[in-house]
Amino acid sequence: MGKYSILVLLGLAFACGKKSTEETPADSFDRSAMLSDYADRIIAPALQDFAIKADSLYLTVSHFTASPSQESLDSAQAALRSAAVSWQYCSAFRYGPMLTQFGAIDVDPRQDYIFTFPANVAGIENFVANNYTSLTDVGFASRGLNAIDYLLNHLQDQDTVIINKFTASTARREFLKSLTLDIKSRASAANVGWQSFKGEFVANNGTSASSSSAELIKQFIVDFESFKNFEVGIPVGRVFATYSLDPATDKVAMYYAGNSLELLKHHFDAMENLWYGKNKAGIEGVGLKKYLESVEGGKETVAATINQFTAIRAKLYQIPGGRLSSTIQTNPQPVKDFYTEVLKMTHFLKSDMPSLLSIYITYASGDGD
Amino acid sequence: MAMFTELINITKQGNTVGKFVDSTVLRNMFYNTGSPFANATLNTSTVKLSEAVDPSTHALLLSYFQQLSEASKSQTKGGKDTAGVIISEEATSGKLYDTKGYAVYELIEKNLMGGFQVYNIGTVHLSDANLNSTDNTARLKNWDMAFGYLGVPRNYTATTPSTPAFPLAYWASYLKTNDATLGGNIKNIMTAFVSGRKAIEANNNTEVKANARIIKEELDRTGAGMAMTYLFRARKAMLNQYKGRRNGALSEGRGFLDAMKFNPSRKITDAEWNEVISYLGTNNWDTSLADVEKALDKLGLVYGFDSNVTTSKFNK
Repeated sequence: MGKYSILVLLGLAFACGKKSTEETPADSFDRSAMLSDYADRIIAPALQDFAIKADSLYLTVSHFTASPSQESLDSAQAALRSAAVSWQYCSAFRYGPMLTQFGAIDVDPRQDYIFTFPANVAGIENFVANNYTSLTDVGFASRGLNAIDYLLNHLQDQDTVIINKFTASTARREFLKSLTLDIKSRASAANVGWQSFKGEFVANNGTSASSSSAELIKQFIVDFESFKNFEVGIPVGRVFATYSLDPATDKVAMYYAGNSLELLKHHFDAMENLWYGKNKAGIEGVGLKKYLESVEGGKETVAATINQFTAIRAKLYQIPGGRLSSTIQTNPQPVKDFYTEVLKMTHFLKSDMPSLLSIYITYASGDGD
Repeated sequence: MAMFTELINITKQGNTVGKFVDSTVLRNMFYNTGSPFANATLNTSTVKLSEAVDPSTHALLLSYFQQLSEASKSQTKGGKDTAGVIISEEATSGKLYDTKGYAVYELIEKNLMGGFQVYNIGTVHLSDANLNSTDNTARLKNWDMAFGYLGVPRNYTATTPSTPAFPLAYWASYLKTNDATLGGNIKNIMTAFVSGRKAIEANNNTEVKANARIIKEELDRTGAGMAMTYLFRARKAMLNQYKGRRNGALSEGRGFLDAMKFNPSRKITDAEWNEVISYLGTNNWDTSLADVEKALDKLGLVYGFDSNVTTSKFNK
């Protein structure tokens, strides 16, 4: 029974059911305005963009599988990269229709339909070998964008190998199409679902565990933890999720395409924007920053958080370009330094913020695995 | 329950690579000797877990303690014929497996969920002998003790969250997994506990027994449902080529099948139970997809549960 293991990993100081405080804060902050701002200016455009990118991925992959060639593969690979970038701006939104479509990541094992990594190569090949097109039995690491990454990209960029594999196998073509159709369907359902759900989201403006503010903050924190632990900590050997604390360079996101660093930068932008309440154009609205500034002691935490965002960004942009997996092997120190700065942010986001905002947070607990 | 929890927590330590679990400590906890508990009040208590566990399973549990301890000596990754921790695929944590691919701590936990919790509820406190007593004070005490062994909050529902103040563990946790599929078995059990107590106060013995039967039968269905769910998970892990999760799910499935044996109102006959077990075999590394599907079909047939991969709501 592994139900608390993710909590151990995440180090959630206020684990299952623990609340910062029970009292409703005696503040005049307009949470409805904040939620409305998030719903319309940040969440809706992100979901819409992902739905468009997922649709494009499906179309380009359909073209590639119908007619495998260098040109059609290039298009599919480019569409995959775009979809992965777009996803970075959606990964923190796992409530309402998005929870159903994207899955939950505050459980161990995580249940992420879109971005589980590393891809399960043996599983994918088994499903291909057995002509699977239904995804009922397909686990999270054998589906989603990282599974598609394995199918469409080659570590040594040998596209001919990829093209030949698809030319030779109907099953491979059909399985890949099923994966992209699944992403497209989920992205579309989340986008459409949000339009009808967002009114409920905005109206649920209290501070209880089931309030929208609590969900927004909780999923933001869970997403931050995922960024810290899964995208950096495990690959660079700073988080124990294997048999030793050795680097696990093959556990980076989008290992085969090799654009992990680009994704880290986008994911960081997305998290920073979310905290500020900024849209993709950088225009600040009513976000968690303003919410924090409205409470006693909040301004100090805001200043500390901004300083830490700056420190993280500086270290992030000191990581040399190229494949993150290669950088960790040949020159790991900049990645370790980056991880250290990300780690320092944990306290401000996970402890100070919910405590200052008197937000009641509970975490999922299943029966285990 | 506190002793049970401390013991299980020690068994789980083996899931950390290189962490030795001393069978003597587990044995001392079982017999409450040598002050083995972190909670000092347990050490001075006259209560012994061994005296509350079905005597017929003592030898098995002691052998499991030994088996777990042996496996925990491993310093290598687990594999076929090799004891050791296997990190669960897609997860950040793993489990310690013995040479035959059993997560022994799961077998200990589930056997205690059966031999300690279900045994005390079904065989001890809600036994016909106790329920036929004319001493209502004693009957009420037995009734309340049975509820205590279930380990759930008094206002427990299918949506009750686990909290640090009252973490939901063992049956309290697993009852929720298939609650809807089983037609609201939490509500059925909780209602039966309330109704049965009222029936004792009203001296309506027919009602008392009817409610006791509901509690036992619902627990039996819960155990069978969890065995189904874990066998489905094992099947899915096999298709995904996940050896760790396959063995983990097979261990838990076997554990729930073991736990079902302690229920005096179990629907499954010994012959049927043996048939299910025979499909699963005695070495998780050798259990095939077809074996698991046969076990699912048989168990589904006995309990009237859907074993179809596509339609079964136990497949989660």
